[in-house]
Amino acid sequence: MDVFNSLWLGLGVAMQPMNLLFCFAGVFIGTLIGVLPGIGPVAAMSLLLPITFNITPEAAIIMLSGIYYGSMYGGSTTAILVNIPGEAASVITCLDGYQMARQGRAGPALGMAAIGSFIAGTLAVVGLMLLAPTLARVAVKFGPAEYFSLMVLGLTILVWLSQGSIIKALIMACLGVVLGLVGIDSITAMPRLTFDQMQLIDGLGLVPIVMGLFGIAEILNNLEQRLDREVFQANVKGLMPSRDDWKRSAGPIARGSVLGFFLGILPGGGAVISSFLSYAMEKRLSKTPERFGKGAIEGVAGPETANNAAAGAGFIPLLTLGIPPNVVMALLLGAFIVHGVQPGPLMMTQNPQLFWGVVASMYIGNAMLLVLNMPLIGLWVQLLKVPYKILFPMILLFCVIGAYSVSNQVFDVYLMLGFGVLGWLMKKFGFEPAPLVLAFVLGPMLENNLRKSMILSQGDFMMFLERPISAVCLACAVLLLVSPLLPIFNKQRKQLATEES
Amino acid sequence: MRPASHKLARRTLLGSVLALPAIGSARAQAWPARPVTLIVPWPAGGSTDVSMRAMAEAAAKHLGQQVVVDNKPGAAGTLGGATMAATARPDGYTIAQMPISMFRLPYMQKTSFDPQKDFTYISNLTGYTFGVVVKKDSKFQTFKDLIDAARAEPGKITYATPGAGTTLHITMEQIAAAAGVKWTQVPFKGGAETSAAVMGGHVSATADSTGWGPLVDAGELRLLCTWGGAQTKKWPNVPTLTELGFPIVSDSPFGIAGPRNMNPVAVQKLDEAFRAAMQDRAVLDTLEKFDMAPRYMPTADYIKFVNETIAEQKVLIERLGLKTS
Amino acid sequence: MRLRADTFTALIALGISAFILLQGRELGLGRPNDPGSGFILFWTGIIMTGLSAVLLVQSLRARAEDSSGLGDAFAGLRWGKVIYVVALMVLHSAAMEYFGFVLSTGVLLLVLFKTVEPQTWRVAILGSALTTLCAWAVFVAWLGTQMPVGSLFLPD
Repeated sequence: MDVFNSLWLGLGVAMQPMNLLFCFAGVFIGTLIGVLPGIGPVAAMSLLLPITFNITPEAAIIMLSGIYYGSMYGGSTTAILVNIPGEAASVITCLDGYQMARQGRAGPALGMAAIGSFIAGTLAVVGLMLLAPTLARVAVKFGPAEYFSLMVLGLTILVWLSQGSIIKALIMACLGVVLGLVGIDSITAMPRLTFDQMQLIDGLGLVPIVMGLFGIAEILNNLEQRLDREVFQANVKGLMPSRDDWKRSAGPIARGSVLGFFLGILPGGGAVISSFLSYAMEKRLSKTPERFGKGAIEGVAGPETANNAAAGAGFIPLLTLGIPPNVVMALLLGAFIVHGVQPGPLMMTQNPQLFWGVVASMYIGNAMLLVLNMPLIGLWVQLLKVPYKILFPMILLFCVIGAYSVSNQVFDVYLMLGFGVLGWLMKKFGFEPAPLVLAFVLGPMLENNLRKSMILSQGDFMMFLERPISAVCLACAVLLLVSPLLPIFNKQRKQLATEES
Repeated sequence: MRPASHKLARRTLLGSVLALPAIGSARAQAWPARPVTLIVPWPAGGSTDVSMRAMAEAAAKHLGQQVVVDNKPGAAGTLGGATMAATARPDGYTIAQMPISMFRLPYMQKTSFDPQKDFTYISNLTGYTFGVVVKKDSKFQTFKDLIDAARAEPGKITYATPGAGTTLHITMEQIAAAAGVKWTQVPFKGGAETSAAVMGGHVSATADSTGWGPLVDAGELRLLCTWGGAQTKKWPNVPTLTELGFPIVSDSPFGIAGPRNMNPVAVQKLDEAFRAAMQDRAVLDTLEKFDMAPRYMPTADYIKFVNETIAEQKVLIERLGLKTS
Repeated sequence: MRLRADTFTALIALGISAFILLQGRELGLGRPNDPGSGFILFWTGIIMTGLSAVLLVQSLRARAEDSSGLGDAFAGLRWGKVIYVVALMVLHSAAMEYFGFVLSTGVLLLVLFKTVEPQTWRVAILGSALTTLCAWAVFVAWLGTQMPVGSLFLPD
């Protein structure tokens, strides 16, 4: 078959010693920057981009792609070990992953995240190979109306994610939406809520907010307690996931792969939405939803799988249409262009060597990541044995570097500290940070797409119901909102019925 | 001959005396004595950053000192210049890339800088290639078809831009005003979404920089016009706006500038270095990859151009109603 | 009567909601075929006001023994340490621009090690020096992060 011939050609390219070396360098650097909070794949790739000018296009793209999917692997590590999500996609991993670490089960959490990521990464490459051109065409059918409805569904799911008071979770979500709207209005280019401050024109940064609410707040909470108290249980039980862990994780990994793959093709926020959609789905499907938020391995396996599948699927619109679905892919597009290759519909025929070489290298890279990460788990878990009074200044420092390096502005460090204090207070009063962060990401997209839809439909709200994909998303959202009320209705109806009889 | 050379000598003397309090004459002779920092107000790795890095490298060869790129993205590309105006010394060791938003933002809101007063303009360098595309099966074969449709049904024709208040938005409205038609802008976030919007049939057309290139080459999208002063090398058969009867050239040209009252020796040396950079093979190759046409202007021309642009932007912003209260 | 924690937060949330609502109205709601800049803000403000009102009512109606007071959130905890560390971090960020990343970070870590949970001088000095050095080597030298050099050290 044609696909296999092409893959054979690709493997030939990817197995050249130089390309293998750069693939390894890429996934290694990726894992490292994934582990280091703040420095994301965007920063690392843009810093390394000039270095790739002197190597072949194949080696350059193979290495840069490796950094990207490698960082997705590494991202879960800090979320699990110190409750610092390096990016929005690992916010959800913090919820159960960090709890597992506190219970001395950091090993299985890290292991399952790595294995789930490997499976998802590999499946995403298979999907990329077989379905790329068709799927890219479906993805562009997502217009503003479809996005709006998807965001409504996403925000509705926030309600399911809340552990405590739903009212408090919703207040946090509202606050998140508002914080997300700070900056230049994407429709009219008017500055909003900026109070004439230059730093606020581009809006608040996600990284300082996330690191403040999770990382800094966690440190402050720990500082308040007696520090000689062991933060993590001393005896770290087994590194490998148990039989029971496997049984629990199989379903979430399978569902997360599929979910992440399809959402990852959509431009914008695919990895974030897929990770928490997967979490919500697992919590919903679980027979013991009360375990979620207290160290359920399903809550790590599902979302980690989903965001890796989304990362892999993100290559599809770039390689087949030349449309980068996120910032990382936009950078990769820049790298292609520097090397004189234009990604797009013609790339597969004009540069088959490069296209299939990169695809094949992703198989190899994912395998390398698994081999690289499994032995590292033991090392990471050792890190938890460092006394917290030695560890916390270092974590604080990494947060500062992380917040600063995203924008090279001290303002972002202050912002992070401010949100750290906010997160510390929020925890005291029973407010959760996750709804705020997710609404912060989704809110502006919701607003932007709602307003674009209204402009396009000339004020006709029926647009959202007339378009099938949009209607399905809205129907799901309504069902979700109404379902907890249904038993009450049933009960009342029964009461009415008995009274009548 | 004698009086003339005398005059020249006196003027140089005067020049160095004037410069003395600010920088010290010995240092002025030796400029540059250490690396020059070039602030690029865009994220590292983007098209502007990569082309500026290529120019910085070429200019460094002529200066005999390194030119270090410092990325300070933010505030629609104005944060870098604003930071420089507020903090940098006018010794020529800190310069910044000046995108067109520097001349536009002050008319849209309060800013910490005044483009007319706070900078010493050095040279203009290059600009982008913009164009209007439609889907391959669209009924619009030419740009005129699109305008005619907008005339027949005012407001029904929609076009995607990478954001409100961008050059794309402003130029499309300029065209509409010139043709006496009305069409509706739909601002998307950044360049990537605009190609998807027109391919998915969500808008009638897209106005953007050459991110649509590969889709045009593959026949998925049709390029109706480009906005440069001359036809593009890559798509020579596509008419420019001028050829279509609209006397508009729109390419968001950008150059470099330093803080106000900058050391004149440094201005001259930097201008020379960047002029040389704009003839460098590697720079020209990089620019061509990103479809940027070289548009070098020496200091005097650039200052004149900046003043014209500032006046023009003020009028446009007011006419489009983009000004905040 | 002591102030209940939930009553307190509900009142703050109400204040924020009112602010959002007013900001939204000021920015303009627009028309259905072109919603304005304040459209979503306004409606988010409305929803948040409703939610805060519910929280307020809930907190007032809860039985006294079920609800915790405002002071309980801080009782028995070393919240002074928290303020101290945050203040140090703010100072560090301000100092970074003048004294540069390396110097200010070294001092910050030394102070943190020595004062928050006092370590021996040996551990504090060695720990802060090593951490600063490693951070500099990895982030600045290797990954090329543009941490502030410090205006003090820039020759003029």
